[in-house]
Amino acid sequence: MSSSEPGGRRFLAWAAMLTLAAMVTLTAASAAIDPLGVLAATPAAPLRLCADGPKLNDERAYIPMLYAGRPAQEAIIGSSRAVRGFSTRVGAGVVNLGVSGASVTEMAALARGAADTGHLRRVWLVLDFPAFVAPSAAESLGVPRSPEPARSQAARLARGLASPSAWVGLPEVARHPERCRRPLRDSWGFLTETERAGYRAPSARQALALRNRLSRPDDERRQRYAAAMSELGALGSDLRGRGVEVVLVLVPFGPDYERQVTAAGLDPWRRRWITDLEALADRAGARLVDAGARTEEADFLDAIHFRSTVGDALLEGLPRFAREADEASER
Amino acid sequence: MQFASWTFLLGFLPVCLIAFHLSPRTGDVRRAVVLILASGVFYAFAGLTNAAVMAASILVNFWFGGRLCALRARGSPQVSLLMWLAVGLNIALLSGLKINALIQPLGDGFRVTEYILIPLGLSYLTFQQIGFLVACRRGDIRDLGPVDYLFFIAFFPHLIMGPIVRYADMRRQLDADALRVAGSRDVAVGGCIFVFGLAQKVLLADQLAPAVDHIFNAAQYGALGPGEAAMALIGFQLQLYFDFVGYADMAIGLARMFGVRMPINFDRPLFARDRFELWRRWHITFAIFMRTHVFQPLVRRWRWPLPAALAATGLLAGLWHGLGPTFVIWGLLQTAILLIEHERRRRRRAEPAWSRLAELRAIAVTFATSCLIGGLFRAQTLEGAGRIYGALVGWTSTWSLDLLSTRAWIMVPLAALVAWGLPSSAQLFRCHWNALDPRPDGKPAPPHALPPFALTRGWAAGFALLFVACLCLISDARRFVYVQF
Repeated sequence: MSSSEPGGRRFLAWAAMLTLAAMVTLTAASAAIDPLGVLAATPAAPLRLCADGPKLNDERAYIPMLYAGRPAQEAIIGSSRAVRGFSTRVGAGVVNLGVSGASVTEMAALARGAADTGHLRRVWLVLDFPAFVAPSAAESLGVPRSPEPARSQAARLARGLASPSAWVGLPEVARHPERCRRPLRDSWGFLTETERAGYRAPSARQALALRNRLSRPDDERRQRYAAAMSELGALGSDLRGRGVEVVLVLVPFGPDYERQVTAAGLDPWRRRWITDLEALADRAGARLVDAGARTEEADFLDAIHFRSTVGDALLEGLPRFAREADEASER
Repeated sequence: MQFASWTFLLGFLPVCLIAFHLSPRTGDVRRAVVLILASGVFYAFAGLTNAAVMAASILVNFWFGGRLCALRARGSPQVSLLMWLAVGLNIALLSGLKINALIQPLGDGFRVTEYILIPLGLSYLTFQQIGFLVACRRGDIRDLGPVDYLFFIAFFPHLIMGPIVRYADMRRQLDADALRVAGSRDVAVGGCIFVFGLAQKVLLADQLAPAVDHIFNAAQYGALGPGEAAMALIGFQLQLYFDFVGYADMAIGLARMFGVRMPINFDRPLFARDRFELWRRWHITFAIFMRTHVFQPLVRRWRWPLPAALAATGLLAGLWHGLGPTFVIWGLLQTAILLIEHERRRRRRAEPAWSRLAELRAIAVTFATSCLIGGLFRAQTLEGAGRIYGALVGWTSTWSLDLLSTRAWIMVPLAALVAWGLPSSAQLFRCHWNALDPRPDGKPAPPHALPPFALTRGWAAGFALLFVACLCLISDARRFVYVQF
């Protein structure tokens, strides 16, 4: 006997209709609120209720889609040092693709995605030493890596409006309605919040976790270091081959962190790291900017994040394509 | 491609269902071929290397199966030798890949988000093929066709994480025209069972995972408090349960959409009153495989004493999960507890009369034991496991609860409520349930107080909303826990 019964068909039709209706409603709500900020560069978005820019905290959800919609000529790529260390003062034409806890592999994927847009002329790789010799915070917390960058405008819109990240972001925006008017980041990926004053020293627990993270077995450290350097070397050659200028920025860390690095016996590793990066920069024709000498508390938000005044000053050390192009287009 | 992904749910599955149900009902072969091709596409998403290993394994075993059937029919004495050769090759392949995984960086412990180190689903494929070869050797399989074999081995609902199916069960269904008679009612019921499993995975297991990962990973690098350790152990046990039972329900539901009956893999294991009962309710097809192909031959053919056979089986089951120290000790502990339980049962002789209170206590003790030894299973290193256990007994420098996120405080009690308070899939769908129970003494689940599922508009609306909620919360990066084994 066939198990096709009118009950089965009616049930399926009813369930399919409701599912479709719910999905269309969620997509329409995403188009109105634009939680991931993908409509910023889309002129025809009549339903839009909120300002341009990502409204969610999850960088891994929106960063892979950010640059496909912006013809950025410069990209800042790195971990939370990149997220917090540069300000909107940098201006248009530079996109901040910083992702908290990004590993070198994740940074390489983001850099390649940015280069694929064809507009990129310079990439700032914000490198922190611990990412080469110790697991990153995100890695140790089991945070998944960023998804593949959305390379086309259609893919970007599809993922920005009809995806788990977009839909699950709707309640978050509803809980924080102020983000509709003032998104967490601007449409170039820079934080819009005001930087807090003063230096925050790590708690005892944070210091302990940091110490344990830095004190990995030598085997693990060697493997990690070799893999990260090899990944970075391949990325440098690749970007150079595509005509993209590479700037390797060695970031500074706060005094508390520096003490931990020394206590973990990692100073020789750091010297080796700088030497290897210099050699890599020579091979790949990259520029090396060592900002590691800044260790005053005034330059830091906490032990591991430098202030945006430091980052902005680094960027201003080089002539800017983006600003020239931007000014030309404004004229 | 995994079941809990948009690619699968909104792309692969609808296309596969349409292709299957539009294909002519003139015989099972065409519909079986549609499903075999779909399974090939499904597996190809795992990468070409994986697919090549899988294809080679299937071809070699099909050849061995054919030879074994032929030799058996002729009564050749070489049949046993050939079977051992084939079984040995399967075990060598799996062991080789597991040893290779062991020497990879961080390859010896539990893996959270890292890449899978052995071809996807190869463990389950190996078990099924060993079962198949033994059945050929015994003469249980006489005529072997490529379509039947491919369908049995590669049907995508059970391809990645089981349940471990038997050739005879699949063949019987094909012979009974199961694929031909599959219709809209099967799609409706199977779809809802699938969504029920998906919800357990996406809304419970995956929401528990970040809270649990956070504590276990903190244990890798620093001290933690007793409350944090206890929450991590309970949370992980619930996460593991919903992750695995969710997959099993999804497999049963998917197969049902195509008219195929899958064996159950779980029967409310959190209600088990001792370890033996737990292993009759948890990962049932694996436990039966180990009993049939390891424990029973050791006892009946090789005359091993019962405790020794039990120890060998338990140890082997532990080693299958991984060759790293955490898994080895976990396997040894499981075995030791089973041996103690065995001795206790032997002395007791008669089954106790359970009062309600005694039953609740036994359930709580069994769950607590699972949580305790589960710490070794989940920890990535012995060092991390040591910190968890140290914290649990108060041997720690901190008594804080900082690592317990809001998510942990909400999700752990919620998951516990669902696990012990809401019906299982067999209970909810009891009016439409037709999954196979591979246990010789398996009994249907007792009815639950909540009304059972029916093909009504109310249930359709409920499952449609549940499905959309799952779509919202799916994270492609959160794979199934058991995929790594």
